[in-house]
Amino acid sequence: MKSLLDWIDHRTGIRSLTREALFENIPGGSRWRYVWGSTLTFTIFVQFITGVFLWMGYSASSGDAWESVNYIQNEMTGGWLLRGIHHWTAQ
Amino acid sequence: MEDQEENKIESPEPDVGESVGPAEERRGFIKFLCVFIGTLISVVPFGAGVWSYLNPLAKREGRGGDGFIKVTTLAAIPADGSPAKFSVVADKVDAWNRFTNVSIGAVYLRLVDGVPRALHTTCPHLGCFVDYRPGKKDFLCPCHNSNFKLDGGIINGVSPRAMDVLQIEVRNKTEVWVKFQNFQPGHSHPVPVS
Repeated sequence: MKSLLDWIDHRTGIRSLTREALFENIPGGSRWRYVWGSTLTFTIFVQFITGVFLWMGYSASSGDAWESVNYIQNEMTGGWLLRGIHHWTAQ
Repeated sequence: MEDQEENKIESPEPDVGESVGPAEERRGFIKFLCVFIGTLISVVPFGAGVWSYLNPLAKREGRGGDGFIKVTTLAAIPADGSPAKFSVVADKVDAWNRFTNVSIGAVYLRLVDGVPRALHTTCPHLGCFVDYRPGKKDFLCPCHNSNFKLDGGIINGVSPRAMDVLQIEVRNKTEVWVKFQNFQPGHSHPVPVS
């Protein structure tokens, strides 16, 4: 497991990137209002993830678009939650 | 104050366990809270996605019935043995919609010694609709001139197999029921479309 993570880190440098993202020194000191940049980044990733999953149940044709969304919302297990997260994160 | 904070971040990890001051304790708690909340709000959207992605596993609805559909009555099939085309009306269900009482295809029915026989109306070559020619008493596919006998056998042409025979039953003495299914074109033997 560790060697796998080492390999990923070697190929991508993900450790230093994570460290930089999480433990960045903020000039002038940290403020709670500075969280909104990270929040925005986070929400867009949530949109990507939930969007890809929604995509798998969606049909973009004129005859099926509404029906497939209805299917996701009311028939699919957990579809209401998935679509709800996607919907409200988009606000 | 702010400089001190910065120094603390850059300095190596303080010895945890021996003397933990209230500042370190609070910082540890906030770190823990960040990781906890971060994990939670990351896992929930992904979990919801996986949950709904696995939806088909939870649904194992078989299609009800034996697949036979009532097409017509014996009296409607020509008595002279020539084939007649009948549309098959049933409920059509796709991934999202259910259309009730729509035409899902057609069959050729003909009587052989009073017993009805059913043939699919599409050509096994590429799926065009095959026409019956009363003058020559054969079937002709207009797309590539494949030619079939009344029992569906190949006379000539490019079709890889004979016309597809469908299972047929007479129920309640006069009702003609056909097990309607489509077959993939282009194969030398019939492969049902699932």
